[in-house]
Amino acid sequence: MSLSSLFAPSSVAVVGATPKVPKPGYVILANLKVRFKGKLYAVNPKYKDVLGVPCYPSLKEVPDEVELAVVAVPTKAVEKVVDDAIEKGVEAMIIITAGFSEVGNKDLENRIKDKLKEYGIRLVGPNCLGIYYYPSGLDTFFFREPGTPRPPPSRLAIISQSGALAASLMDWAALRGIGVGAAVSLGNKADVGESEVITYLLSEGFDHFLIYLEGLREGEGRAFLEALGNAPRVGVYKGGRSKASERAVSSHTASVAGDYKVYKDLISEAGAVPLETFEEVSAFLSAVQYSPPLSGKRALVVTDAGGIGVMLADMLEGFEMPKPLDPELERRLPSYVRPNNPMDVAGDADDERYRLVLERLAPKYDLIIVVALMESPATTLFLADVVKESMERTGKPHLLLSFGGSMSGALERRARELGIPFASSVSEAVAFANLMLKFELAKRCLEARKACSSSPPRG
Amino acid sequence: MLLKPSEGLKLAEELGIPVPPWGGPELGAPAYVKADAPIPHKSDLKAVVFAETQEELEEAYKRLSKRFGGAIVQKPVEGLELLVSSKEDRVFGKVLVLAAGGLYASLLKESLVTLCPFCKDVLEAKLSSRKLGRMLTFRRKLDLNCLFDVMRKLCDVKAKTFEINPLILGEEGCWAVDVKVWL
Repeated sequence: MSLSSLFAPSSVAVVGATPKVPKPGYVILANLKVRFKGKLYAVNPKYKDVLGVPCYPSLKEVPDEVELAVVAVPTKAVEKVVDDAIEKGVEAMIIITAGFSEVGNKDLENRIKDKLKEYGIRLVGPNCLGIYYYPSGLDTFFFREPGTPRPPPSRLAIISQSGALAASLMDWAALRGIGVGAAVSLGNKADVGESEVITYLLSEGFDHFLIYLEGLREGEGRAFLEALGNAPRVGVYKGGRSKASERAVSSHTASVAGDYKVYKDLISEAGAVPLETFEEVSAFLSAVQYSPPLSGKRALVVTDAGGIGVMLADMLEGFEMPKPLDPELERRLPSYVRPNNPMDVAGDADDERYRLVLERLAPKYDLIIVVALMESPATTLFLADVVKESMERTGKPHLLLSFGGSMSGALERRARELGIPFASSVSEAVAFANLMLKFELAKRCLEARKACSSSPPRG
Repeated sequence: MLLKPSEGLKLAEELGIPVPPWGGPELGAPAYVKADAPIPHKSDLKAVVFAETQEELEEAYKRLSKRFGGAIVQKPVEGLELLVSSKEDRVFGKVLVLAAGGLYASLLKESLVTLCPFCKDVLEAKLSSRKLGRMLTFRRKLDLNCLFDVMRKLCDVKAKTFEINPLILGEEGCWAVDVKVWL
């Protein structure tokens, strides 16, 4: 069953809407009023009108159809709202309210879940921030603009069991101009889980998924892996890696392949990549989502800062860095600049020198990292355009790396406008390169698995 | 519930997984003598003895039989020690685990998990990026097909954990030396 009522409803009622400023019921309604493209209603027995939105005493009394009900009322009032929603005939609910299974209140959660299931009403939450979905303007994240702005759109979605983490990542992405087109905070996952969200968003044209996962339920694993396998790129950060539960087990198998290890290996076998550090999370958002796939292991570093080139060369472990042989390039460069790898274009390099080097050398490599320390006099922020041209011409992953002051910031903004991979530190660049390698390997595993499944098993 | 070594070896034989010759003292030295009792870590309890001579073998067999209520004799085999197992994962169902066994286990600290049913090309792709993969192809030409065959068979096992540690991988053949089964 499609999740369109959750992501792109034609009408939304905010139950628990209020004019009291810091409350979720205020922020959600305020954000929806700005963004949401469908019809909007408020529900609260105390008001006739909230922020200029017509307000009704209960869901049942909304005079028009309500496709999605967003619930931000106290825990003890939720069940009544669920009953009203069933009577009203809503298609879907997002229950923001906390105080359910996460604090041991399992019975209430199960009751609500069962009721909704009986009537085929889909549920996100409880205990979540709900859904931010750029295409429809649905936004139930109770973080206020302009303090926490929303990022520019892209075909990347964040799916998180932790709402606060999703919100921080969106905030961080917005500040750097990194695209996020959807964010889903799943909370307790009483109904809708990762697999269905991935499948729905894939059908809506999303192609990158950043998932923060604490755990899956018994037997859910295979469907999750299948959903991962259908998506072009998924990075999964698995939280909760403690070994405490594994100590008690006496088999070697359990000690060498505990729960986290199983997740990690199976995720990568399904064509996705387990993200292990925050550096990798940030590289996935800031660079991987803008890059074509990697198809080999030869890396080229082009830099106006010798030291950074050497640092990168030291850290790019899984790559080869063959030296280029190009007499024509040698002829066209000044005498003090020699073709090499890392390719030091020298401190007086301008955009044109970068362009020449990329034209000559990029086609011979699989991954190209362009370093621009903007303190040098001749480079401009249109260097980002030069990198984009080279990436489009060759179809190979390029990364622009720059860190420093306001000129680097300007370069990053230009890179973001163009939608090219950008890193603001050496470690982010290295994380990008490693992730590209891991995706390449994961895709090979996935292809192998598909070939195995389609041929009859041997002996 | 953990099974006795003799029961584990019989199960392996039933599955068609090769095991080294085993039985009573009549097998003759040199051989290993092992307690036939459900103990997870036999060497910790000095429940395994290597007997060079027939006298040592008879002595150890009597002593371990008395102390643990039973013993078996097993002929030594040559090759690389691996841990291979299948386990029932709560979330993902049946999975296979491959790791360095014996001495290398603590040195490499590397293991690999893959989904059942077994897919050789998936395993080979995963091994290509790991030390474990280099270990399997370094210097010797080990009988990888024997390993793959064991892994394929482990996917059909009905047990919470079916652990072979070590599986000795030789140039011609492989043998499940110790089989621990948790039903």
